[in-house]
Amino acid sequence: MCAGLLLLVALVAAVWYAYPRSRPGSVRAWQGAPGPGGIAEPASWDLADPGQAYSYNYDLMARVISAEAEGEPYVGQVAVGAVILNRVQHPHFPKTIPGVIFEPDAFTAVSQGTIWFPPTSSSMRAAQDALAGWDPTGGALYYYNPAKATNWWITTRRFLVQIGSHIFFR
Amino acid sequence: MRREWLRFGGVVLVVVLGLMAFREYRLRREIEVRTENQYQRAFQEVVYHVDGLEQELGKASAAGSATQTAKAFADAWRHAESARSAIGQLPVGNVPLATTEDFIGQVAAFTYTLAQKGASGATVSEREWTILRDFRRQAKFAADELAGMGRAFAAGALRWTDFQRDTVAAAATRPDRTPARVPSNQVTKGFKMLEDGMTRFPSPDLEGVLPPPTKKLPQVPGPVVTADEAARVALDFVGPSVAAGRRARVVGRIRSDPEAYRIEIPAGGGRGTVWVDVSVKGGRVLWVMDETPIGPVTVSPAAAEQIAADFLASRGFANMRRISRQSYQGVAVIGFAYEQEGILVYPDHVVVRVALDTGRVDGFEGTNYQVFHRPRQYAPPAVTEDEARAAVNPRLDVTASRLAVIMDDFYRETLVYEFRGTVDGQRYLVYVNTNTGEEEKIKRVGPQGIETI
Repeated sequence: MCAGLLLLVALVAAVWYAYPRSRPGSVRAWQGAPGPGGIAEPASWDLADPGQAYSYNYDLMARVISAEAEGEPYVGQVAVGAVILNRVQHPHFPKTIPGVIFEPDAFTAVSQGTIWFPPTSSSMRAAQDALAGWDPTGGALYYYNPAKATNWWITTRRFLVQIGSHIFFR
Repeated sequence: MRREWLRFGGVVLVVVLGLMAFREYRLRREIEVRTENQYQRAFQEVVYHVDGLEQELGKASAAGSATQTAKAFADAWRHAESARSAIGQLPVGNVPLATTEDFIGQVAAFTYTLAQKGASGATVSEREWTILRDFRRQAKFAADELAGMGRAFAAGALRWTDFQRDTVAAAATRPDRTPARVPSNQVTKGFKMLEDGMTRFPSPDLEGVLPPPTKKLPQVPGPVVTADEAARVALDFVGPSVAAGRRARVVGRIRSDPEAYRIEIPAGGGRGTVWVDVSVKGGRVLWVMDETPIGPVTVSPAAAEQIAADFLASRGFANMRRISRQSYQGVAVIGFAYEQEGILVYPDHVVVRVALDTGRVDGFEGTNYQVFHRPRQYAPPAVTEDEARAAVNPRLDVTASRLAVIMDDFYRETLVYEFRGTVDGQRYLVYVNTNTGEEEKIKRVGPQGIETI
């Protein structure tokens, strides 16, 4: 009798648990708190010059740089930003910064969701430097870290330069 | 009694675990179906837009009036751009598609150019009609192939999510660096057929009709310098305050455009690493980046402008005028362009970065200046400034004007009048050709900055 009651309670609890529910809070937690300055304009932008329209996407770029080039020298962080912008200019890639960043399987950090952690402040400066015109890669479209698993076919492309642990290709 | 309890506990455990597993399965399936639907939608849109592209190219070649021709070109351009955007949403990064992507990019640029030409009243030339005909035939082939793939996918119940899993696994590096086996399935086979077919079409001669699809800056003029000379150039450029007691070493030669030596001034004495690129031809500094960490801000962005201007003057950049300024994350970045006899030469532009902690220059980017700068000769304007102003929208409240040089995608320079003005509280720069009196370009100006070109 007692055991039967226990079984019933357990069943009800299990069904309640098993039934998928949407939890809006979890999505927000997943996306993480916005970085310093947030999704909008940074507070330090006291002489604002929007430049090309795409400069508004610098926050997204900073997230990719932060997640992809953590622990890399500063120049290597600017380099990741430059690769994103070189792709935007190239006919084999989408024409917008979000298009390039969210292209399926283009960036490990996007596939794994680590871009939703708050970006570091150096990655935010690196994104803006890339937008201002610095390209330490010499026009690269691809990079990979030989210490981590990545694409074999990239080695068939034109080698440009190594910065930190990333090798850049065109 | 005890054994009975144990038995019930066991049953409860099994039931709970089973339900949890079922829940995980349902959630996973739900997400997979959603992802799958997005991929199916993107592919169907590629099919739709490539088909639409072919139809509009056909209409453009059949149209008799300028209005219908321009409309068809504008629609073709929209289809081409939409197709490109949809391809970017498919997991085909590891599938060779370069020819197809080049084709779509070329058609987009071509139809955009022709739509613009139609708007200015110019007629389509004989050569452009030939290109249009070739493009339409190629688009027809692509549309047919894609529609066939769509049918095969539907019949074979192809799942893009399965394909994505296979390609990601196959693309992973193998220790011996040999190519992994690319999975052979309907997607790779279909795209290979498309790509092979596309490469069989002769590529039309677009020289002079379209700018090259990828930007390739010319080399810096001048003789080839050695690595040692380049290292000296780098040390001289960063100046004694940065270079004192430090050595520069060439860490590589980069096959970029223009080709460059990568020079490293290693960190030391409380200063971070400084990176400098010096062109192999001409031996000019292309860019500098100082990695020294930036402390609390003590210098105003206005003071930084003077620091940047003084830096340029001391490095042999004469007659530079400020064209843009911005400040972020403890630095100010100021853009300058060269001025020759009152003419602002936008192609010869540089940017200087000033760290606002001590007010030192810690970055420089001048690739365009080094590539394009030279003494220029200009024909006197055929159109007077008053005549040019007549071409400007009367609603633009003109506050200033000057002569300037702008550059297009073919690296062609044009002498223009630059009119600065306001419409509805927003500032603009309007460029009018000094030769034809036509409006060449309109730029929007930020709240305090002036856009570079």
